[in-house]
Amino acid sequence: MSPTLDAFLRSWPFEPWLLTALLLSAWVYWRGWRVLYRRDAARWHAGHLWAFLGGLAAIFLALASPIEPFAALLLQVHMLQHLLLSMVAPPLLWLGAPLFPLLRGLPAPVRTYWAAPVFRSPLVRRLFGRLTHPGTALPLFAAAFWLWHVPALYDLALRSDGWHFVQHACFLGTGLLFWYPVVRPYPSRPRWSLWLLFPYLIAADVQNTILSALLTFSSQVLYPHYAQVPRLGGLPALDDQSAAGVLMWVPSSLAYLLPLFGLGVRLMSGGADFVAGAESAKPRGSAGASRTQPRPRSLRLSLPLMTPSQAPVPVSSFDLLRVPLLGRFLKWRHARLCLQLPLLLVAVAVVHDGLSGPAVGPMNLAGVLPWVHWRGLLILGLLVAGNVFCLACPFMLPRAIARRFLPRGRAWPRWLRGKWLAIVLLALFLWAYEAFSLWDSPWWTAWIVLAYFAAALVVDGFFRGAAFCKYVCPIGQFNFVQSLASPLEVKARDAAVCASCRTKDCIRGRDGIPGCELHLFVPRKAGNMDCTACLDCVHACPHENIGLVAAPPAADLWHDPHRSGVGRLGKRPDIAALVLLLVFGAFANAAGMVAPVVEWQERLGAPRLLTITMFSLLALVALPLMTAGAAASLGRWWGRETASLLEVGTRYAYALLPLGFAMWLSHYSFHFLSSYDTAVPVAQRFAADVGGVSLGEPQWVAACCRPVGTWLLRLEVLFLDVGLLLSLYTGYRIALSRSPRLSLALKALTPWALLILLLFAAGVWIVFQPMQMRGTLEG
Amino acid sequence: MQGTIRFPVVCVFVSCFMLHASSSLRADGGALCLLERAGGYQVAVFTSPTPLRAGPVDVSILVQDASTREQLPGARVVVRLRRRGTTGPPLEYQATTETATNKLFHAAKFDLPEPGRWEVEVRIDSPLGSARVRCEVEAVGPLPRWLEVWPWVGWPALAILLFCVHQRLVRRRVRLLAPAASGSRGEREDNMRMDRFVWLLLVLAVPAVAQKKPVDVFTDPDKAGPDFKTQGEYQGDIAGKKYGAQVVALGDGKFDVYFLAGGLPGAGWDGKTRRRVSTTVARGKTLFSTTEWNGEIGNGQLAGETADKKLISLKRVERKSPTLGEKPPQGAVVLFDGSSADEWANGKLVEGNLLRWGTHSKKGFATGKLHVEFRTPFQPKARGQGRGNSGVYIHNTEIQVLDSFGLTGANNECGAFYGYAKPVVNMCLPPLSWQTYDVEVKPGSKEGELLATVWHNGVKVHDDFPLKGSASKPVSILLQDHGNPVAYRNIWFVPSE
Repeated sequence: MSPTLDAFLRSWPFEPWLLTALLLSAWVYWRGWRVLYRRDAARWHAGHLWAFLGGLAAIFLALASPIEPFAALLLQVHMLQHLLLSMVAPPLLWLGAPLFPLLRGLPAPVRTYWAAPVFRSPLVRRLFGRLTHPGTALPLFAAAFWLWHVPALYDLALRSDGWHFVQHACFLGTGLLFWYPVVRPYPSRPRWSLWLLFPYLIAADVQNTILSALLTFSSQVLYPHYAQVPRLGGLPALDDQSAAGVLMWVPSSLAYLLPLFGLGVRLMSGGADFVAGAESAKPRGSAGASRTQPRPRSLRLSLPLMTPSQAPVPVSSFDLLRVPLLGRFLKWRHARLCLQLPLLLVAVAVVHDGLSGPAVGPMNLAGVLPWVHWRGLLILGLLVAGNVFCLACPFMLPRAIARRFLPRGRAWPRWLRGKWLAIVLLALFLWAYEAFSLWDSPWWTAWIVLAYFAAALVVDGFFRGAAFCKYVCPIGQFNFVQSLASPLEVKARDAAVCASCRTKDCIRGRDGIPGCELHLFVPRKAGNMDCTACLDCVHACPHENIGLVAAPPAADLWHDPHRSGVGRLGKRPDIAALVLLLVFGAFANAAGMVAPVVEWQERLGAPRLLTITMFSLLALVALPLMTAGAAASLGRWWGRETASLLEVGTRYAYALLPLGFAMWLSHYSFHFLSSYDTAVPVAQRFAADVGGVSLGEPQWVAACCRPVGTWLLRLEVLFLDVGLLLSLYTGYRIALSRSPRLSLALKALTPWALLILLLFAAGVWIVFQPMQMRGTLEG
Repeated sequence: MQGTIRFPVVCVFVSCFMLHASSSLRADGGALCLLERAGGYQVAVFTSPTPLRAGPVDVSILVQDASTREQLPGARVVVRLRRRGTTGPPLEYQATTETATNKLFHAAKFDLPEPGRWEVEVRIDSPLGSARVRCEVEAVGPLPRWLEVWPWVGWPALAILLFCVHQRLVRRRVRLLAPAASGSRGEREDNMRMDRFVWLLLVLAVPAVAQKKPVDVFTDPDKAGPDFKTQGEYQGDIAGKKYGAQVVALGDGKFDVYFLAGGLPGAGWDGKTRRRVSTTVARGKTLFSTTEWNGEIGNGQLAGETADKKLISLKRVERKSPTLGEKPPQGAVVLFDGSSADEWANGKLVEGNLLRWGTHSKKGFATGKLHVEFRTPFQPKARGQGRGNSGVYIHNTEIQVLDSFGLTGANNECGAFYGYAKPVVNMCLPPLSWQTYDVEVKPGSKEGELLATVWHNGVKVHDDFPLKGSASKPVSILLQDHGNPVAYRNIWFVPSE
């Protein structure tokens, strides 16, 4: 094999975006086609599937095969690429009749709520009808071909990746428009006569012939780029150009003339009235319509799959407890213990190393594991599942043992039954974290862990239920709030089973299994607020009717039902205050580690403790109160709300939660993903110091301030983007639920949307700044 | 897994996949830098991106047999780049077909360190013989970071727009289906307002992310600009009294001047009287002015007069540490003498004979005397911990290395045991000066205690600072990587008897 051919066969560019789009399209189509095939195998035969996949394969071949890298060296290869995009892929895609399979393949909520209004819109349909009319499609198609073959534009596309993309998009887009009237994929209903296709295809062939002839017979190289690049196999640029012209001429003409021939045969054999114009003018059910197999005439009528079912849609079809192995493990009564024990051992190691190991944070387990790994994993756990840390919380383990000896009969004081104590503790922690550089002090870290164990033991040793988790634990409050935007929640699988249940074991407990100690009655539970995901209710339920089921992230915030053990979120200013603290805390905590803020604090010249205290007061108390208060006042005024200011502020404050979650996620995942390897040398040192076990010589080369990959910055921004959109959407839903008219809802939302956008801008600014690599060797 | 959750899960994985993949530079293609015949070869050199920028670049070479025009996949191709007008060692990379997307090419992907005119030399070796070709390319500055990722910041605006269009279509359809109920004037106004809201959101959704200018970093005094020549230490008299002055460059011709009564730190300063004055630029001169003192800095002099017309006259001085260049005594373990970095884990040479920051010694040391020489870069626009930051770790405790010239000498500045103890006096010399640390570690009176005494530029700045460690347990010496180009040389350790 010649080296050039060998190189050609091995030159496969890696195009993740394209590959992903094609695979997703194929997957969605296949899902939908499978359902339709089961319903009507005669209509949805395998030919559709293969045609659609063939169209996608043609796009793949054009853009992600050796054709793409060689297109810049040989004009004929470039021509082949363009033909695949404009002449091969579009008709194949339309032959797959993609509308129904693609729609049916989308998840039901996406299909009915998002896609259906667009496809049903008369505006969209009218626009599409005009674009695919032969009188529009042909000029657009021809214009794209002729314009992009102007030498200046062709060279521009070869010089610039961006313009090359536009060129390909033009060929594919106009190709799709051009071939639509020819293929007329189901359920299209053209209103023009099929005879129109004759001049349509002939005109397309004529313009193609002229352009091809220009290329084939030109005596000079039309595109300077190909005159400059090295010639492969000694093929002169002019010969290459002629070959490209022939390639454009012959296969393209065949592509135009073959459908023309087929059309002629069909019309001659008396199928004229099968086509459109006449047929569509006839009343439904007339004889003309029944000459071929019956098919629905109206897009609206033909789309029952886009209409939400009258039957109640199940909340989710995914249940983590039904996943093989993992679900079985979680349903095992001692699963929690199995998760807690390793974490308890890690906590013991952290305490030991913190008190007796090196005082340099990045060289100590207590300086690395809690502040880099635990925080990162905790927030990532909240993102992909839910409150996984509380499930495996090691602080509960000694408490559970000590409870056997301590009198835990007292009720938690009524005046402390809210989140205010936890808010104060959390604010103190956020302040102390900055003021005493806790991340850099293994000794303090160890004492905090010990204090946590002691507090859990004392509170729960003397008070009933899980008072520590519900009213005291700052980590728990963090998890409760963030898990409102998590994708899984503990929920009853079937409400009817709960309605018929007489024992209520999920809250009372049975056979030594405690019921919910946080007083969340599962049938009336909504969302993850106050849920530690301990799964006690799952173990206690005799009907196995409780699952860890999926729900759209943050959807719990869109409605405000009465929640067992919590009440209405809109009536809980303490929880709203907790949300505000955590939202603004997310930004303050991240801002505290970026260079401009640190320098600004240094420039103030005041003692560090005073500076940090003032900064914390400003960021955690003053700013949330002022901005949320202003947004609530303005929104209440503009939206003509009649509720009190406190009630309005309380309800809308939850709209900020997804953005706050995104900021924590960006911040903690940054540390975790950029410094996860810091645990290795620390573990090596710890093993050698404590157990005399050699796990290798620690490699202490500091990771501090290494340039962070662009992908990580993109990931951080992506988290913030999603948080922004979710926050805005949550605010929109809250506003719609409170206002009778859209205009009033938008007015009420506007100040909150502005606040969300300001916070988003602050978040983007923060992630663009050089950050201190806490938990790594710094200084 | 059921459908509802499968879709978002797939999307998340797909996003992560693309996030990683799309961050890589595409090999091949770009602008043609050279196409010529050399020896038995036809060589074409392409550079990408177009225009070429400092940062990640791709140099692709097509090597063909000049007679047959067939590709030569077995050829060994090396790319060398040298910034025009410089004499240092060139950057050298091997170009391979594995790196290239188009396997006709040999490609090398690397980071071009700075903008400017670069000479590209390609050397080809194969059974057809050796050949060299050369071309020149102009590299412009790197794209601002936010511009690299602007689509990631801006796409929510598009999402918001599409959402608003979607909601508009939904409401329009509701109106069409039930015109009586929703065709009111109020409803039409709502729709108009919603249109306006779309535009409002669109405008607000694009965050104004300010372009962050790259911070200047200089390691060569000749290229450091006029500010470098002005900054530094000055010594002389003010109104007949001996004074020292430390002029700290802040970038763009601005300086902070610290007047020190008695002389420079470690050379007469009384340790208390320290007065800061900021300079201004007028008619091309660097001036300082207070209610008592006025003057000018330039040509190696800081001159002016006091309010009562007494003379201010200080001259620029360049102090050197008395232990600079000290030869390792007998019995010393030489860790770095400029010839090789073999004593350091992943140690690398920079500028030919200096040790690159971010490494640790392969050998461990317990007690004895350490000598290290270091040089902080000139970063006039950087501040605080971002200015020439590194550190020397001994027994896992950091002695800070930082350009804290002119500052107070806090416990996170040069000469400090980072986070624990500030130096007795801030002996930090101006950036790009070679400075020394001499550290003596000896066992303390208590079990498991080590005591460290530190001399910074020959002046004792810590006396018997307690370290955690053991006299019997050797620990590596670590030179911290804080992302700043701090160079090291002449490092040796004399173990105790």
